[in-house]
Amino acid sequence: MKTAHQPGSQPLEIPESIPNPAHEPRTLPTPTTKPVKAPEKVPEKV
Amino acid sequence: MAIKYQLEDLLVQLHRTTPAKVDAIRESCRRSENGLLSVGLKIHYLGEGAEFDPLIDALGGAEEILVNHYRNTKATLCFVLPPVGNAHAAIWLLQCIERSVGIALFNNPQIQIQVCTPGRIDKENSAILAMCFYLGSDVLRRYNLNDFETTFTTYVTHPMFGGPTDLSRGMRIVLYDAYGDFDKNFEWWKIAGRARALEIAPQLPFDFGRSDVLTATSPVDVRNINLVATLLVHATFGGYWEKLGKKFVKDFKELLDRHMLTALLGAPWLRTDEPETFDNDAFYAALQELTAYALGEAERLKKLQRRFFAWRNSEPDTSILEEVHDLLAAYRKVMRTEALRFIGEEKK
Repeated sequence: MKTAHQPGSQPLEIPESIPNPAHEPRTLPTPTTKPVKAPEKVPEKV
Repeated sequence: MAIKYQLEDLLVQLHRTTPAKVDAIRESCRRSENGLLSVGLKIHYLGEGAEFDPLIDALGGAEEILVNHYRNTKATLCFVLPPVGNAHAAIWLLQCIERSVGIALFNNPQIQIQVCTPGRIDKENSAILAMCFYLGSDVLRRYNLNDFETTFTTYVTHPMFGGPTDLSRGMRIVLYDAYGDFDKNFEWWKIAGRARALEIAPQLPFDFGRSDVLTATSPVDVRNINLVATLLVHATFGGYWEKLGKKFVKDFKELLDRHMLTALLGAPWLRTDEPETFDNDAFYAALQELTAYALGEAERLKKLQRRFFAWRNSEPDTSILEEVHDLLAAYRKVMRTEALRFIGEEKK
């Protein structure tokens, strides 16, 4: 881990290595489909 | 590569802790996988411990087997392993040694793995190999130039020994061998006859020469280096994968062009005996540019993944990291499919 900072500021930590995000599984969320609402029968006008 | 013991000597020692894996290595250690080239390994140990001592003593002792002059300058030892026919066997071998010596060899900052491929590739192909290794790795690293400093960074021999006198390799990710021992008894896939059919020769078509990659740290690195180096060596020496290798070079150059990184190919990624390749700082400047771009892309990808829907609904993703990952996967698949087709034809 490298550190770098200017006087008066918080040290900034720079990692030596990070995981390559291209190797993380690319998961697609399953689409959530809302159930189709059955139309209510409109009572006929008497 | 000076190896003063046989693979079998090592396997006998490793059999005590990992019998099943050692048997698997014995069974496959001369076999090529889909026409990929053999894999040599060197383990540079940057720690101070004596973990390797029992294994090295069992193989004949440090004075007998660690006679190799070459090592990372920060390493306390450089353990040279006999080459094996495929990347799987190489990874198993490292896993067996891990178990035997009791320290992790993969993803351990105190261990640098050097992956050796038979055949010397030219400057431009070395640049492609180094960049593919870096961008295709499962870990993105920041390097200091002296991470690549070896006892052969500057190395000149006396003319009385014969052969080339300047064996300096500079500070690089990719470097050539120094005319050591060379085991050519590995399969070489080549094209035979007018029908351009596949023929498997029992030996490699060259008597010396390797292209090595320093600082590998994971099984992914070993597999990727083996894949890319095979394509580039076949493109250079006219092997069965020559056409595919040339297409890979073209595809990778187009990828660099899309990311405006083509100029990096002109940097001295390989130190040869040509004076224009001697500048370590010019190599390091190019590597830093690549590193900065890759780390920036990694950060951008992470942010995009957090805002998943915004990402999917925006323009198609053009991250160099995913592109290299997908390029390597695509070529691996083509080679496997073609090899399976050949095996199918053989059975008919």
